[in-house]
Amino acid sequence: MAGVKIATVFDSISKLSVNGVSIKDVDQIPEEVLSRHCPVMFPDPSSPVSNVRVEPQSFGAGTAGKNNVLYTLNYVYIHAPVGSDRYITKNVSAMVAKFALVMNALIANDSVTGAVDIEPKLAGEFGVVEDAVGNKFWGFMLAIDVIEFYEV
Amino acid sequence: MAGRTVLKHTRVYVDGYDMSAYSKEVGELNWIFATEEQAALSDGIKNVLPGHAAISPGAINGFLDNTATVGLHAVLSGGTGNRTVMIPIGDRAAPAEGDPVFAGQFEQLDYKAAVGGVYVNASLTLGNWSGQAASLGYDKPWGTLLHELSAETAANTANSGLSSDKETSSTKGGFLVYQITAAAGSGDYLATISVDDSADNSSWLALANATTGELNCSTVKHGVVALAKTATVRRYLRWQISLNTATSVTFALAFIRPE
Repeated sequence: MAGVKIATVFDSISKLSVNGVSIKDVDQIPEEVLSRHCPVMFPDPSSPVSNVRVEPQSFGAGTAGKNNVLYTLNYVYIHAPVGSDRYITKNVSAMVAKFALVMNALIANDSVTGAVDIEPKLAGEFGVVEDAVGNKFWGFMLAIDVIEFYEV
Repeated sequence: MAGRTVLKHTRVYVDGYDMSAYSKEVGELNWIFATEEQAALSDGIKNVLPGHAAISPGAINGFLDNTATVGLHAVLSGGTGNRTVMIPIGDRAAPAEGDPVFAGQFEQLDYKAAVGGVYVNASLTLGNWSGQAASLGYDKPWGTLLHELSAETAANTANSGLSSDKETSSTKGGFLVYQITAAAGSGDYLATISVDDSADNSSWLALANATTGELNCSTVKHGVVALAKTATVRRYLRWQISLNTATSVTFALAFIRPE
């Protein structure tokens, strides 16, 4: 269906299956992350979408032409609160393992509904991330570059 | 799905092997009625057969992958030869029944390696219609994918809905191109791949002469089967398989019909 399908892509990504990780839709961003929610990955509430641009691909004004819509979806992955385990290496190694699983799911499903192609990449911290009130968590920031065809 | 697509949904099948995961790009998939540049009407024109298209997939660029038997290097470095090529283009998904496909037999002209700092690539150039091709009398390489590369274990009883774009029935023949990449069963894994046609997408009959004949599918098989250029082909087409000692055959099948 013609149109920008950002919400559809968020929804599609939230339905990916990653063992032990709860991936949230854009309307499921938690108000607060507690230990029992982890590991969890959700759209970055401070910047869920960035780098939006439209690239005309054919003749035709407005919706008569073909347009590529490109943007980046930004995610926060929270593995566990800092200090939740006696040994740092346990959380870090488990987080690396989950990072690999998340990447595997995104690479294997690069044509999710709404998008023509998606490409994940690490964006920012991989280690300690903070929530809005300064609580520290083991986690990472993930960016997913999306391309969609406007007309389909 | 109809509409635009992207490169990753293209596949490359050569001589019964799926080269897709070894390939980075394919050529221009040329289909041109060319004349010698700067030729005057009274000049003799070389390299052009009047009324026939010059058809070539162009170059296939990929990785120099030496995976035994099925790698690009293993399949295509052996020298020049006649190659059965199918390049289906999926519509924003892996190629499926009804998707466009460029197919035929072409002479391999070279095999070249390119070595860089972080890569070793391989490329090969495919020339025009092979002189050995049964399809030589046809001048169109674009057809319809009747069966995507996947395994079948029983005859086809489904209505395909794969209609001719322009005609209810044609008397211009056509040709099928097949790639059999794997099979299972007993003995020689014998099976026959063929094409059915229908006037109404409901009542199906075997399309005369559009059959591979019984093949030993214990090794990869590929080829072109051309109908007479005046053969009648009804509006709808579908794939068909007859299993003898094979219990499962993994194949891709395309049909090119002049319209």
